[in-house]
Amino acid sequence: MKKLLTLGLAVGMVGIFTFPANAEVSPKAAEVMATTCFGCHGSEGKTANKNGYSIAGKPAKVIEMDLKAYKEDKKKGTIMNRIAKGYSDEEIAEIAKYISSLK
Amino acid sequence: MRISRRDLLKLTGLAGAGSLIGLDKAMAMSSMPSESQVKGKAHVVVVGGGFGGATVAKYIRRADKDIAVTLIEPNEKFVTCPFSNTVIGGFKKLEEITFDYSILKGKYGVNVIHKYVAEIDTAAKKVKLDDGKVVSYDKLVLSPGISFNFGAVEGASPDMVNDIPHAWKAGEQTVILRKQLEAMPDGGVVVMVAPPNPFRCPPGPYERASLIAWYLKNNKPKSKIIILDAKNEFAKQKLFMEGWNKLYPGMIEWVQADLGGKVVKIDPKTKTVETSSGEKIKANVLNFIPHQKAADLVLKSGLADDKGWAPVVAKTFESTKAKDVYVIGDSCIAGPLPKSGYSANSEAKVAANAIVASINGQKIDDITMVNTCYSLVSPEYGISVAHVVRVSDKGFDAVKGSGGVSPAGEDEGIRVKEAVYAQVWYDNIVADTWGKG
Repeated sequence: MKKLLTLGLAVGMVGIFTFPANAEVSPKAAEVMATTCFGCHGSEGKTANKNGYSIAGKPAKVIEMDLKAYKEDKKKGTIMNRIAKGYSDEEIAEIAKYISSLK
Repeated sequence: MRISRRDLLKLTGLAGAGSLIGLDKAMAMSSMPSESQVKGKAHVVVVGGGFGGATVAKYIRRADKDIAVTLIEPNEKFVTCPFSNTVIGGFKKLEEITFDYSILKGKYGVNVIHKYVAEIDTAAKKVKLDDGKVVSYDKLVLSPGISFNFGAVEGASPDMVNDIPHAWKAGEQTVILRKQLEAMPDGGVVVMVAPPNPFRCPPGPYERASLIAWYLKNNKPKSKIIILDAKNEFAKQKLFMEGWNKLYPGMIEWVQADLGGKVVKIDPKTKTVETSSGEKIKANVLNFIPHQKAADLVLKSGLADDKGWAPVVAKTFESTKAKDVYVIGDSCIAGPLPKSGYSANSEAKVAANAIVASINGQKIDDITMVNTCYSLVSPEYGISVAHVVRVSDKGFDAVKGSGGVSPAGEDEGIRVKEAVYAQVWYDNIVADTWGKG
């Protein structure tokens, strides 16, 4: 029992340290987070340079799966693995939904 | 394109909205010829039209067209520091890194005033311009960049910059440095004096040395670059040195502070610098990058701490020293976020959200934000760094296990790709900031 409690506490602490916010991600927060992707992926998710990757309007599930694959190093990019590791699965899911909604 | 008063009102979304807000009559006459007063439910004044200021103006209007935004920026055109090293290296022109405010004005309805701010009265919530006119605000965003502390090194002064350009604010200085490199004989010595932390664009001096080396290798191969550094280590160091060894062997000498790199004195007449160990080094081209602090406006408005930078609340970027004043970009202290164009652009989005939420009485969420910076070691050799930072009531926290620099010791493939992505990054962030693209 004590062991379980300790484990629970440790997991909790890791959670707090890594993603200190509530697991729930509001649509507003997801929008702000998604807009910080525009610096590389283009304003409103549409790249201004043909060698870049537009993200606007892609299916949410595809964006979510790609970001999680980068996060878990199942897919190798140049910089996206380092970036995807910074987001919780809940954040990734909500950010994907917002990006998908962009025209 | 001619715009009628009716069109202007439609564009700015201000027609018929809310209460009068305080642009004084003369001011409004000079900036919005058809209107003597600006209407809206609130007036946000932004000072500085760089990556932070232009972005915050755009994103406030993107979120809520009933909020009037006035951007005060002295220059009609903005030259970006990011990619200015490509002009110094000689493979881009200054025009390619120069932007204006026409899209912010036309598409986003931002009222743009090209004046200097003389002073800020945070108690009365007024900004006084250098021509004496006064603009009042409900919320003020300061994104004025950096100022230089020439006094930190004996003999250095702002008067020397036409002979000894810092080129740490892009524009005329960038061109002077480029021309000096073009005029330098083969076998010449370029001396760069790199500043202590914190400063604008931590990898910038080393990218600059790289692209100068690229130019010299192809045009004046007997020349040399000496970097005299006030630090013992620098951003992306391992990656830069790997690139230098591969591309420019023996050409760039980096001297760390403790091993004779600390410059204590400069003689501008002879372009000679003296280090703390007493060594004197004469340069053909001298690039002295001064010590830095927050912009003068931030300092004299009492918004900086004793180290010369503005402390802010992480979640909102509101100054801890004045209510309804927000400081973003290079002037603020943003935890682990470096002073970069991308940080300023991301900070602007977090601040814009907080400002709009505050005006509309909404809750302000925690946000996870990102900084991404590319550096070119040559036109076809790129390296990167990323920072992912959580902003909450607890402050700024780098998310554990995230971010960091490109892997070292990799083959050519990733370097070539990251050089391509550096240009993608540039084209997209300037489009996101000023609307060109």
